[in-house]
Amino acid sequence: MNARDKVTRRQLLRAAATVAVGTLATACAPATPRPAAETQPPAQPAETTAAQQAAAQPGGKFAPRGTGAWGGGTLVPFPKRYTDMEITVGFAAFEVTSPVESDTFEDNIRLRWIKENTGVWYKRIGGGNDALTAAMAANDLPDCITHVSGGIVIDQLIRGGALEDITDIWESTASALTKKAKKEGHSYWNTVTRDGRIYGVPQCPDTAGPGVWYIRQDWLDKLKLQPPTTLDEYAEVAQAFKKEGLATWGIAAYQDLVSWIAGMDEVFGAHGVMPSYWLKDDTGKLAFGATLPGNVQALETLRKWYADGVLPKDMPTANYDTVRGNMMGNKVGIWQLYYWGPEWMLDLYRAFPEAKLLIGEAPAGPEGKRGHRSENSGNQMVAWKKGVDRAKVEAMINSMNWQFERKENAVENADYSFLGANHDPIEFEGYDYVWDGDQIKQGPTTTLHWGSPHEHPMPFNPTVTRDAYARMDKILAKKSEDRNPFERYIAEGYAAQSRMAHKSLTDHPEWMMHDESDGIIPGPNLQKYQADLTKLWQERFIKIVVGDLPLTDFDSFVAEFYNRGGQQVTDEVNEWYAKNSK
Amino acid sequence: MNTTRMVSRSSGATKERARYWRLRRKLPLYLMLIPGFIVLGLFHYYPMYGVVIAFQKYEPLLGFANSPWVGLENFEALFTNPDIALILRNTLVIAMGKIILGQFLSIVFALLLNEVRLSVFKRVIQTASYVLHFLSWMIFGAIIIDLLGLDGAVNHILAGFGVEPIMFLGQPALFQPTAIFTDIWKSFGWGAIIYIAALTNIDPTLYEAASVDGAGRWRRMFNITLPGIAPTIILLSCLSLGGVLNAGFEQIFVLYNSRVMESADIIDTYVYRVGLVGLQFSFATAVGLLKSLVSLVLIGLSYFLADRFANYRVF
Repeated sequence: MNARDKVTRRQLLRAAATVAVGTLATACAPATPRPAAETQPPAQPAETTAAQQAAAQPGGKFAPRGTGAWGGGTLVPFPKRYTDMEITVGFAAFEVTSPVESDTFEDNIRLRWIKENTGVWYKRIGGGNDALTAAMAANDLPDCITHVSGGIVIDQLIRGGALEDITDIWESTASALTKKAKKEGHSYWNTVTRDGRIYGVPQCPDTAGPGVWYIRQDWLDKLKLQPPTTLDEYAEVAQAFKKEGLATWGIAAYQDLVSWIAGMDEVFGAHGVMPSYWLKDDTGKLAFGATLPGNVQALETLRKWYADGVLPKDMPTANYDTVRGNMMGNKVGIWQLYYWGPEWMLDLYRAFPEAKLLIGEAPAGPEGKRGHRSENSGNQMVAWKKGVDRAKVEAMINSMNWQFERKENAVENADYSFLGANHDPIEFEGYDYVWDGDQIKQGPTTTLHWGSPHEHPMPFNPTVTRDAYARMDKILAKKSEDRNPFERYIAEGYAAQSRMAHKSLTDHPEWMMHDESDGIIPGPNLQKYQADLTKLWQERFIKIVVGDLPLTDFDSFVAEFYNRGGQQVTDEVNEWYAKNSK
Repeated sequence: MNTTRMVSRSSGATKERARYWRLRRKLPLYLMLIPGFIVLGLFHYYPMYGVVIAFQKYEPLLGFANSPWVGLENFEALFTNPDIALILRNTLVIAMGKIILGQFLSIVFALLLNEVRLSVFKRVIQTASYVLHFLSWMIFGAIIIDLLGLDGAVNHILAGFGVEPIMFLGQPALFQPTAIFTDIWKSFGWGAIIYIAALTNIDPTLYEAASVDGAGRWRRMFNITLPGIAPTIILLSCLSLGGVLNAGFEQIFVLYNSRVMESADIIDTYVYRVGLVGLQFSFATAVGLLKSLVSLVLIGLSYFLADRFANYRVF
């Protein structure tokens, strides 16, 4: 072994030691705070469109082109501008869908817009409930906690003293309009109230849940059929689509009988029940929806549909991808989905340009009942960690005030760019839409996605109010030629279908079925038995539908439900309801 | 005497020096072990203290120190669940099926591949067989669902023979065989690698001698090849005992559905539903701890068996 070899080995050892120590030090070092400069809105990409450059005027690069462009008026100003305030917000479960390719979850056009217009930079933290749990365990909660799902978690946060009591600041800062829109006094507030003190603001959306039944209008036209309105008519139309070779399956369905996509919620609703919701029974007490007698008729209908081939034969094994593939692939003619379904159906329109969707009515049952799930909202909230700078709470409540103000008192024709189909998205010229002469057209980079609570620029869902749709009525009342460009953009085209779909639900509030528990009951029995009981009803229901079990098995299911913890859970839910319902 | 002492002292010093030089020569190797030990300690042993929550009603905000102690309540909850017998049975059937059939097919595949003389063909087949190992179950599961669907390729082929479409993943009686088969399909090529390596260690002169003595291909396989890799077969079989409670969460989670719960629900999917979705972390930890204890016992047993039948020892 010569000297050269020894040196090499020593070097190797040094290098190995350096790497090991360096790795260890890096792993153990605390997370480096983001430099202030980095929190500033980054520069725009070099390639900007002429429309963007034109829009880059005082008031913000992405300020809507409201003033004077189609009728005058000014935007509602933000009530108070803050200076370089950063608010950390967690924990959105989903990534942002931005129309700008280079945008990220943490840094995107919507966040930059807010920074420019309000002075507040929202530093977003993703990860959903898992990230929240980790942060709770590490005592490392962000300033603001939002989109928390599950009453158990919220209860843990409040009982554990992790949330700031915002009663006073809420009272002094929230505008009358915000308090009204946020339904002060509604049972939604049970989530965040303990002994009269407020620890957060519930989401309390006023939106309809899933529940629009979309029907292939082009197929109806081809077969000269009238839109179905009852369960029987839906089955007949589905069979006709199949018989004529237009569809492989009649009505889209998959293994989840109650779902936001291809769910059979409305079949249950047509019999006055909703399996996953807590509903009042004949005695006025709360009962788990799956145990109510109306399920027998609903299961009978579904069983018949499955046996007759109205529902896909592979329904028990089909998953989300399968069912979406059936919708986009021209294989089904009828499906249930959220009201934003038409915007989600672009793949269908692209592949089958002749495809047209009709927004159907929720099917009526034999006794004329109709029902769909309202958004079960109570288990989502905005709250602030204990000890947060109260100016941040004030800023966010002011932000709520601003949003509700511009919804309620928007200047005619000046604020339409904020009038979203759902969840109040902000639209951006050059992205979501572009001006073509005096026409507004779909933007080149948009995905036609109007946002969701998780993508919303504000770290909370401000609630979609029906007021927005009241204005929609006014727009719809006009003839097309009398509408201004933005009104045409809003009321015509694919995106407009979503607004119409939402309207079809909100026009009939009597069809919305409300979960009396709001999904927030933090009882120990519910926590202990919920997973088993959910599995029980889902398993038994699907087996009854596909014919593995007779319809008479429903009674034994109910007995088993109560024997396996359902009785304790029901007692607990009723006790909580009696104490907290408003 | 003095001379003896001097010689002895001299011999001792030489041994010491030799030990020193041996240690110095191997020092780089020992140092290179350090990062591995650090990782092992940080990520495997240090977090172990977290198992205390199996005996608590753990609440993240209260932490380990302040969460209330509940003794064996979480374990009782597991064993008082009416479905526990079914879940254990499903877990054992699926896991054992995978172990036994998987081992068998890997051996058969290795033996067959060993008989192939065209090296290009051999390599292509071997690569094609184990490439599936690198696909996650999220991807492979989607392929399986598509292939085995009512409108999938398999049912199209069966229809050619006049067979009615079969819902492989939607019938309780068929789910377990389908799960076992698809897992073996995904992993048999990878599992055969060790056997193929063992085959290369067999002395080729044994085959030549057997050929001279008139032994045919089958005779050589049964009398030379199989005995040659027998220690490896025994070793791997014994070691796989430790995995009898691991029926494969990812696979079952991707493939199962409400209709086949009675034959598909395994310990891991149960823990996922109740423990993680239901936010019962203590319960999930209790089940995990129990699984680990059973696995520890089985690994000890497998080590004993491996020593007994394959002369395999670590210590």
